[in-house]
Amino acid sequence: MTNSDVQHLKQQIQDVLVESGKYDELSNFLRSKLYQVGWTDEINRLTQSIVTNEAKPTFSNVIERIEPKAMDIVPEHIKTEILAKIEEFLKDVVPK
Amino acid sequence: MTSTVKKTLEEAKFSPPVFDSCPHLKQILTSNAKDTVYRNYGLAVNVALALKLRNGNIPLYKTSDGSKVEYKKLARLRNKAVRCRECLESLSCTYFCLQCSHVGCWKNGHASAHTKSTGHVFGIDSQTGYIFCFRCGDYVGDQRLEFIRQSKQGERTEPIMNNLGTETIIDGSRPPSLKASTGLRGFINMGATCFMSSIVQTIVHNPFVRDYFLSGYHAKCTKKMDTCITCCIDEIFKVFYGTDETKGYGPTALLTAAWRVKNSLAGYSEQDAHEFWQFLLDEIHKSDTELHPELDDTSTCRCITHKTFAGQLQSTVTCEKCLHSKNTVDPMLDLSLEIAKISKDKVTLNDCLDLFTSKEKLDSMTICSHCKKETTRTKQLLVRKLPPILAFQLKRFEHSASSSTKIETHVGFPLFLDMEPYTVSETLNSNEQGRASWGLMTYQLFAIVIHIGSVNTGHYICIIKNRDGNWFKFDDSRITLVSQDYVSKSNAYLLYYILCQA
Repeated sequence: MTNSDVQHLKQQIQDVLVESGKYDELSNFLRSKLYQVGWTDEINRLTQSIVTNEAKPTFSNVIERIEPKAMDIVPEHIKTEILAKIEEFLKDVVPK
Repeated sequence: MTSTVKKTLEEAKFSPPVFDSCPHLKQILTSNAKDTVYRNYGLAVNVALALKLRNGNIPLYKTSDGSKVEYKKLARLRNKAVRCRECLESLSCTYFCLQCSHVGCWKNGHASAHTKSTGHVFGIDSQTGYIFCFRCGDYVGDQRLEFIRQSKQGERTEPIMNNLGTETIIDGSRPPSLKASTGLRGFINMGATCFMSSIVQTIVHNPFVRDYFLSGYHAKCTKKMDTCITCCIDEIFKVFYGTDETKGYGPTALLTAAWRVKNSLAGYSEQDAHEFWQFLLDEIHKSDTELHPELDDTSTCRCITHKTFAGQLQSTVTCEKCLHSKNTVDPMLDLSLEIAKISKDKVTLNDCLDLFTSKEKLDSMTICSHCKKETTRTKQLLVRKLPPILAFQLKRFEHSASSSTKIETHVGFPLFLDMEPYTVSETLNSNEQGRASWGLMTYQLFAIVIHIGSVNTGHYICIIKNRDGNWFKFDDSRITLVSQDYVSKSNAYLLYYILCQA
């Protein structure tokens, strides 16, 4: 499969996710889970400390510092759960 | 003086921008291109906010012949429009170029690369409609652009009308000082009155109640402070937000009026803050409906107390044999939660909510009216309607005939609370696809009241988040800035959450 084929397939998957409403559903589910485990609170706290310690805080430099950490501290079980849901959805949609 | 105020009122038609301006934005908005900019921005925001919820519903779109456009088609069209031109990414953050038809993603750097190669400067966030300046690396704002964005979002763009009439306001006013506008002022403890002052502080910093009083909704009351508790509260708002004074305020008028209305509040022992909160809310409800009788004419009271705090609880009783269920709906002003006794070492507010909404088996056997068999029943409580401010009481105090005890267990509470799992499924507004419209059930913590010490000789303090996101601890007349960690570690008794805008 060429690079362009992969890109095209990715686009089609994104389209199906959005049109079926599944993307919104998954997005909301993830957001809710992250609230529940206190991830959002932690990000809030980290962002506050980054902004306070930064001489001239801008969206760019703050997100540069927080994004990798934010991805890193998502609990494993949530990542697994979301991936499983996406896989299940794709099984029904993507032809083998 | 008058001309300054008049100008402010004119400008008040436009909502304040969320972000500061930047030299690049200032330059383009004073150039010949500015009208094109306003027009293009409006068009871009239309797409960006096309499917955003308005009042809990997806907006309705019609074709030129009047027929309704299906959600699926709208989603497809919008998805196509926000797609990055280089890598076809559409789910994460992408930007519409303000100066041409390019759309670029953030993730793979295509938006940024576009600005570098063309010299274009601004991108419009395809999810929020905010403007990003690629030179400054930051979101920027402007009054008129913000007005355009808010009107596309269907938000109220008129300033809040005051209750007294515009003329009175123009003639008699000056802008408050920055210091006064924070409303930060402590109460002197007049002898075990911290149960009162802690609760009043949560009211003083409650945005809905504050707007009500500062807009003059109680000004027409003809009673005086010695007989009207709400007048005393009105006075507190005036003094706290209108003057620069920061030394402790002695709430003598409030105390006198409170003792007059409710004898049990007098005396030297510490009272329960929660009881006082209920009492105060009731007084405000009575005053508001007295001054504005039209608010209480239907089954739902629309006074400031009820508009702010009132929700509904649904109790469902189910027959265990035939599963037929019966619902009763009751009004509520807050949720009183038992502290869950669970095996893991940290109990949280969510655990207590789980307990509150769990299915409870009712002891008695009865004849089911539906299947006519003798059966046991289960009962479950769920929230049916969520208020803008959700108040919680953790049942820490147990009073029996012989003694009173206090449960000191620390209950962990989130700074952001999602109430969706605790609501009735019909509470969710389903759109045509049957999906829940989310984002209407997330709350943000804004105040807690803490009880320190034993049942009878305790002390109350409160911690409240102000407009800038700073947490302040109010300990009688001492106000201190505290950290988020300090808040999370505190042993809360009463908690107040405010609905987050999605």
